Amino acid sequence: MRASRLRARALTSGVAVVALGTAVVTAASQGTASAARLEARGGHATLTAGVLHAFTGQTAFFGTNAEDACRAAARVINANGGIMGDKLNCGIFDTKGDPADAVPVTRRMLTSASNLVMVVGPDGNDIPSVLPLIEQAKIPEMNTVGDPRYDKQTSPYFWRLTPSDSTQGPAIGWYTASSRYMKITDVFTSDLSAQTTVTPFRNKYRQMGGKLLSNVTMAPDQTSYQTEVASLIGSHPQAMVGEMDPQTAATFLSELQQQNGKLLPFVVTQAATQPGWLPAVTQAVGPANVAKYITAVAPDMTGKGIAYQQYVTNLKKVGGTSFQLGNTIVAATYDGVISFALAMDEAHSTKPQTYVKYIRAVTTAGHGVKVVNTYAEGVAALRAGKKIDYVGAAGAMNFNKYNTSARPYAVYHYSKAAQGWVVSKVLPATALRP
Amino acid sequence: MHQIILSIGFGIVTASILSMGAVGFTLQFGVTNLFNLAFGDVMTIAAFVAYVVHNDAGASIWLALAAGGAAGMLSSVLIARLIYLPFMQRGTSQFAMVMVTVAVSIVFNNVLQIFSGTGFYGYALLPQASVHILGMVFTPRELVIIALAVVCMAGLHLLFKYTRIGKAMRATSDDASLARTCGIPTNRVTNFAWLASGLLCGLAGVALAMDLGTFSATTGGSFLLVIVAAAVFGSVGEPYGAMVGALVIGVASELAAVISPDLKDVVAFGLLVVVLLVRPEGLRSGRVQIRGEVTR
Repeated sequence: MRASRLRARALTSGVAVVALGTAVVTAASQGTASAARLEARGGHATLTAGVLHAFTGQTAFFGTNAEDACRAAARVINANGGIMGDKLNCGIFDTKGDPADAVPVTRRMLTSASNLVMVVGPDGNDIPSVLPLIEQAKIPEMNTVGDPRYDKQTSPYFWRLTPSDSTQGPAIGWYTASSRYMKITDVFTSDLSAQTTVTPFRNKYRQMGGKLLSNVTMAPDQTSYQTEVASLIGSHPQAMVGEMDPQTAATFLSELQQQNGKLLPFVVTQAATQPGWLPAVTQAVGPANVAKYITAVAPDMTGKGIAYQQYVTNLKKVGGTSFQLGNTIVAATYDGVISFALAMDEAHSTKPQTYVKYIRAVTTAGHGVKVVNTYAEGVAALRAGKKIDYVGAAGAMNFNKYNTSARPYAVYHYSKAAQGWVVSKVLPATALRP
Repeated sequence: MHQIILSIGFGIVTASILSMGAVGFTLQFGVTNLFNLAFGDVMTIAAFVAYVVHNDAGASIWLALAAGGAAGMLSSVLIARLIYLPFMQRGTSQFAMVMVTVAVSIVFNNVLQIFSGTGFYGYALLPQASVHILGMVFTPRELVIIALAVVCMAGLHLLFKYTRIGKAMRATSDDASLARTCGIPTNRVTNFAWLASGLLCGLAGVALAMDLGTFSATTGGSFLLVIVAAAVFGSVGEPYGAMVGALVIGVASELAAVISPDLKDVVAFGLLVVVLLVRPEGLRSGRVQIRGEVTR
């Protein structure tokens, strides 16, 4: 009696597991196929851009910035008739900035988001764990990670909107030596994203005659960096070069200011243009000191013209902050969403596997290709049968053959009037050579 | 050698902040038997209250520090009375109570983020000239933080040793039911423990935010681990042990940074593991009795 009851329970459990598994598989296939079925029906519905980022925790600013960029772009697209009549909606999926949490969240996005046509994200922490899932589901994703491991990736679904860190190292080395800082100390945090810049930077800097007096590698988010600061001051550098996350930079620089009586010239990577860095550091050492001592070397994404105006207007409409308006990463993400939408228009399809082949087509310059700066211009040109190159709020996208945006680099200084970074000069192409 | 002396000074500043946090944490555990992982979020609340008082209302940073301490007291008592105590009165297991504190931490963290956004905040403090003492370098503000920690620790010592409430706290910590039988108002004692630990928590939160330069909604939570480490180092529930734990972890991690900054956490947590291997209940083992019953 007892044995048969146990068998029955085991059977019930087995059936439940199989049913659940079937439901998950069915839902997963529905997620990617629904856009295609929608086309077949000829009806209009809402497409989803899944914003896959940290929305809680220490890196929550990644999420809010990506969400606002997506919502501003969706607003523009929807105001101009949508994507072949379909409205675009930005769905939020919180990875908490933790690779372990990111995997189930990504699975949930892939199975539950209706008509998922693109993924906005993930960020650098989560991408190694979730990228395989997104590629398996064949949904195009756009990211701004700098990790050089993706420099020669071949997936058609991976699109990097900003250059790799492997070009950042030479750029920062070139600028430091060109600025006559010939004796420096480098200060990088020990995390992967900072460390990938170290060797290319040192190679270029030494090649140009620079002397590295010492190097300080810091564990991020400590309560104090006083000992590291004392070591830095002891090496008497003309300047320091490096990369730190916002909290670490704020603590380190305020302690440097306190011990040394003033800051040292600091050449910092594009990490400084990431959301959160300037607010943290300006709070810690004051805007005047940021303007006087800190220089960022980052991809040139100079906002200007009608594309930038439209970006600013729509970002404000969705509640974007003044910081976001001047942030190049936010602008690049906005451009990413617009360009993916234009690729759908060009492909006459919202099916991810189909339109992904057209992303490069709508973002590449060429003979007889019309440069468009807004979604409306792009749609009109496509309807007129023209080839287009979308040059958006952050400038030309210039994807290389590995789907990484090969933008030039620029030197940024803090402007108190603009309350953000402004480009002071664009670096020559030679600066980016190893 | 000069670098080592400098690092000892920096370690003393870190230890001062840590000691207020670790002693507050351990005091809560000693009297209430609750491993409160929402402690870091109360530190953050205090840091934000001090921000409003200093940056928005224009009060001095020391008045803001006091306001942060008061906010820590109030928050701790409210969380205890409204959330923890109802669970404990129902006999919720210790493990489940830890999960309740995790839940409270997550809720607080997200609510703070709703109000504060994802940005960073910092007290409007002017740079100060350094003061050199025995080869170590401090700012006047750091000296005040060190003095504050010393006063708090000395005050606790006097409280435990010479006052009725302090003795009652020790008795409640050792055996709550026996203490109650002996006529000690354990309910009042527990409330006082929440107030005292909340005060230390609030002061630690504001001091930490001052030391870091900037803080955000997640700052307190991200430094909880090192506070817990200092508390565990000196035996959880044992305030004097937590003081020693904070001093050892604070100074050792700064000294390790002289060799390599990468060794900071390695040395701090390596020491913790060694101490726990040798004395599984921490440095001052044998002093704490974990109560099986909860006071009303």
